[in-house]
Amino acid sequence: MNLWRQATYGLRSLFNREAANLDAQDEVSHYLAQSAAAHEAQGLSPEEAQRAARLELGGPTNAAEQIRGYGWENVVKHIAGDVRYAVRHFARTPLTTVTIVLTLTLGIGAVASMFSVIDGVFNRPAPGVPDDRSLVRIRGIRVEQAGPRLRTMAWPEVTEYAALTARFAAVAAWTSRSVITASRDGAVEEANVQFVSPNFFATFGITLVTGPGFVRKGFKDLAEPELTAVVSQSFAARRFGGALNAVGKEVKLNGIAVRVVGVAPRAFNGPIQSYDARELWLPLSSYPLVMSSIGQSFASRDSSMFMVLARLQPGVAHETATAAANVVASSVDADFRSADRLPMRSDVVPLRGTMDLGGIDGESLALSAMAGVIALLILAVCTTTVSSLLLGAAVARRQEIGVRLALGASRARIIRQLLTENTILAISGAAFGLLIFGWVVRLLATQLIHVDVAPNWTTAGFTVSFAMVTALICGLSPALHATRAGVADVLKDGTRGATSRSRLQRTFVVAQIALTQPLLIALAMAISVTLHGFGPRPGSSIGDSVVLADFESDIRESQPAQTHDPIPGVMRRIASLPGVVRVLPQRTGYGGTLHLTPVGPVPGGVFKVLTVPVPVDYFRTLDVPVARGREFTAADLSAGALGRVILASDDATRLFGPVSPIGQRLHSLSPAGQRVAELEVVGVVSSGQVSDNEELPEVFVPYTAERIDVVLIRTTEPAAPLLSALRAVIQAEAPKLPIVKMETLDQADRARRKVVLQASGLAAAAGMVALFMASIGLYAVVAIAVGQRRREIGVRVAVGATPRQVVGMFFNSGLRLSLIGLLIGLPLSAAALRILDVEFEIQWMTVPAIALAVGAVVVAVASLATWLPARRAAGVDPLIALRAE
Amino acid sequence: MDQANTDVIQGTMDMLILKTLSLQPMHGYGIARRIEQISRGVFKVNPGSLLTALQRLERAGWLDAQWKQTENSRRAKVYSLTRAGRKQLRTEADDWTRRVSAVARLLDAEA
Repeated sequence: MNLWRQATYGLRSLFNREAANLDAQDEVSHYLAQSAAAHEAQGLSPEEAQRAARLELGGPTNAAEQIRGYGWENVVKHIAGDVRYAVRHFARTPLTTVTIVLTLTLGIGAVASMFSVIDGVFNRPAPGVPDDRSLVRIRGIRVEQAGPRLRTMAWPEVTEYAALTARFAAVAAWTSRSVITASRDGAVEEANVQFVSPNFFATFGITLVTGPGFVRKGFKDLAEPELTAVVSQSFAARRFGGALNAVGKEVKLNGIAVRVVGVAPRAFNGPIQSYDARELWLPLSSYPLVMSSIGQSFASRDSSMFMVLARLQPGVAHETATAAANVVASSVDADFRSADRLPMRSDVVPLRGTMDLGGIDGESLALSAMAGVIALLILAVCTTTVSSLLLGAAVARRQEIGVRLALGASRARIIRQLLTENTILAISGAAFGLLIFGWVVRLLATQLIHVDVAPNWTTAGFTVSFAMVTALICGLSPALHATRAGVADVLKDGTRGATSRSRLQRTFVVAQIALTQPLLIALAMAISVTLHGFGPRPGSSIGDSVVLADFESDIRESQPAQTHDPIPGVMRRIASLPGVVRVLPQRTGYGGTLHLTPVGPVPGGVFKVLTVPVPVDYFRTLDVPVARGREFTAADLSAGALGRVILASDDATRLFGPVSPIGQRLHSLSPAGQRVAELEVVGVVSSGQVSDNEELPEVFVPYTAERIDVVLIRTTEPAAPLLSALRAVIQAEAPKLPIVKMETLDQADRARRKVVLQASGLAAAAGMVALFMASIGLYAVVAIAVGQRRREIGVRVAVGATPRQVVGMFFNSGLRLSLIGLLIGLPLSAAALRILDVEFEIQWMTVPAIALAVGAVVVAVASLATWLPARRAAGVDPLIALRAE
Repeated sequence: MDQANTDVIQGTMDMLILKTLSLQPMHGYGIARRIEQISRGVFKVNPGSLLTALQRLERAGWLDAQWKQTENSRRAKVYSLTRAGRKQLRTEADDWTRRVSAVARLLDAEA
């Protein structure tokens, strides 16, 4: 009632100001009239009575104001006034305002998105899983000399866990494989499959989107093979045009027909979060048929291939369950003795947050720690930028503040004004930042479906309030500073005391550059690691007329006796096609490492090299000229004890100096230094055209091609239009041979580059944002210093300083700040690299180069950010500058 | 020049207004006159404070206000006590009595 009355009265007087004013005036004038009448009744003349009444009241306007001054609506009115004033101020300084808002926007948007991803991975159930609080993973651990490692488990061990019903309400097992299937348009593709115990979905508590699910649903219902599958929504959409169409349809996996009996919830990607899309779930009983391993049962003690998830009984702690699981593991340990037997353990960990990255203590933790650190660094850079800008703005407004103080504004009033401005900035920055956040999250939700990145308002709220509080605190200190000086001081000389204030700002800038540097170095390292090994391929000039055909080998491998290898036949058939010059078997990757030492005239040291197996005619096919000697011939494949090698020209010089390497001998050594074999150099190819490894020299050895997975096809014309014809020929020749991939070298390169560019683009963007913010801060510091010291510059110029000297003075001071920042950032960068080293294996050789490059970039950008405002100092006219004061 | 203090005792203005209005509804000047009359000129009400206090009491829900047309076509705001106001008056009056008697006891003890 009371509050209601306050509210309605306040609102009425707020929205109907005229009426409220009139009321107050009427009340006062009625009072006056009454009072005057009373005085008149006591014998005063009407004029005198009026005067006496006014005297008592103390002025009618004043009294009406006093009446109107009561109530909460006046606070609103004052704030509205502050806001109007603030908006006018922003309109006067659009550049600073936009920069501050932009900085807040970028910082808040980036950090909220980052935290949202971290939160999606670690604080929420895996996608598609409704309730995971009691879900755990039972991890098998083998204690090796180097430390504990994760192991897979054999079926008998899994059944023993399932028997621990006092601890586990349900136990399910799975194993991941990849199979070959035909896509909708008939092309062969690979799909990731998980073979699961039939109670898999029930253990998760997952309700299928549609379909009845597996026919037999018990943990041990594995007696007869059941050829059914639950598919992911994306698979159903791709193959059948939607979840509803999928159920009852057939898919062929490794040539075996399987009936679709259900569709998993959207984004469900199996028990462990992974960047690979899991598309099909099959009952374990279908494993022998689909994976063609009839001879070898999954249930045998020898086939250790399962991972285990379980639902805990209510009230059972992870520690209790781990103790029970360890009993099982040690009994397995006791009756499963092998030659390299190592102690086995098990533990029980929450399923949530486990990722497919291996490592026992969860490299995922390191990953999230890195993401978190980067996010906090961005936030820190962002807030320091904002505070240095605000500080600059407050220092620049000392005159204005002085005038307001002189006109009688209280210090609290001015601080309130400045805080109002900061709040407006923070709110608009937060609003735009959340806009970006929503946008990024939507992008992530479509691009990164295997992590649940729904807009997370808790995270966003946390980030926004953090940014607001920081902005306010950052704004408070300059406001207190700016209002502390006496009125007279401020008005007399705007420059005095400026140094102490800008010292705070300088500190901010140094901190910013210090923070930017590790961010940039970390990002540069990540980019360089991603890019590593993506140099130009040998013979890339003819990349469009070389086709790589990659054939699935698992099936042939699993039944070597039953099927004859169709690939030699396929190769003969392709070679007979018009337009095909040559068909070669190709081995992907390196053969291994060797330690070589030259024999004979030049006593060299021991060289560690990578062997690259190449087939006969390899260099001719790729148009790489053999500079000296010859290529491998068929005779080299059966050279017996004396192996033949081809060297790159640089390595030949390193090994043999000026002596012709052809016919020279090399000894390959065991790691202990004993001679293993003797090798003869038969050819030399130009280094520039073959080497794509910077770490170790490469030595080419003959490739014997016992088992062929990849075939290299050289054509006379660009091969891209021929691909479908080639595919048809291969399928006609060997209908059961799945083609995993078929593309020209150029296409493969483009695809890889695209992936790398996408990955590094994001990282680079974050680094650029950080650098941009730091340079804004630096710019502000120098610009404000120039503005504050106009008088000093005027004096200097008047007594004969050249514009170049004046500019140099400011430029040097700005540069000094950035160098101090760089220096302070060094330990931070080292820490960042340490974190990165956990995640990627850093090649420490490249670190100095990257550090130098990042340092150079920072100094260059800092120089620019300093030079632009410093240049203004040259434009100071001493006459105007000195007169203005 | 020695002049008796005619200020209303601090913190009692609200109670005086409420008490005055408990007799009958009246307008601002009327309240001021009544307080002066009943106190026999001991208290002289400051019009500014009175009008602000009326505004505050009205907002608090202790007073109701009505605009009335006066004979010389002016508007007059006439205040009356609400139930909440009556309750508030009792509370304040009790409080006041308690404190005054305490002060009186103290002064007696001194004598």
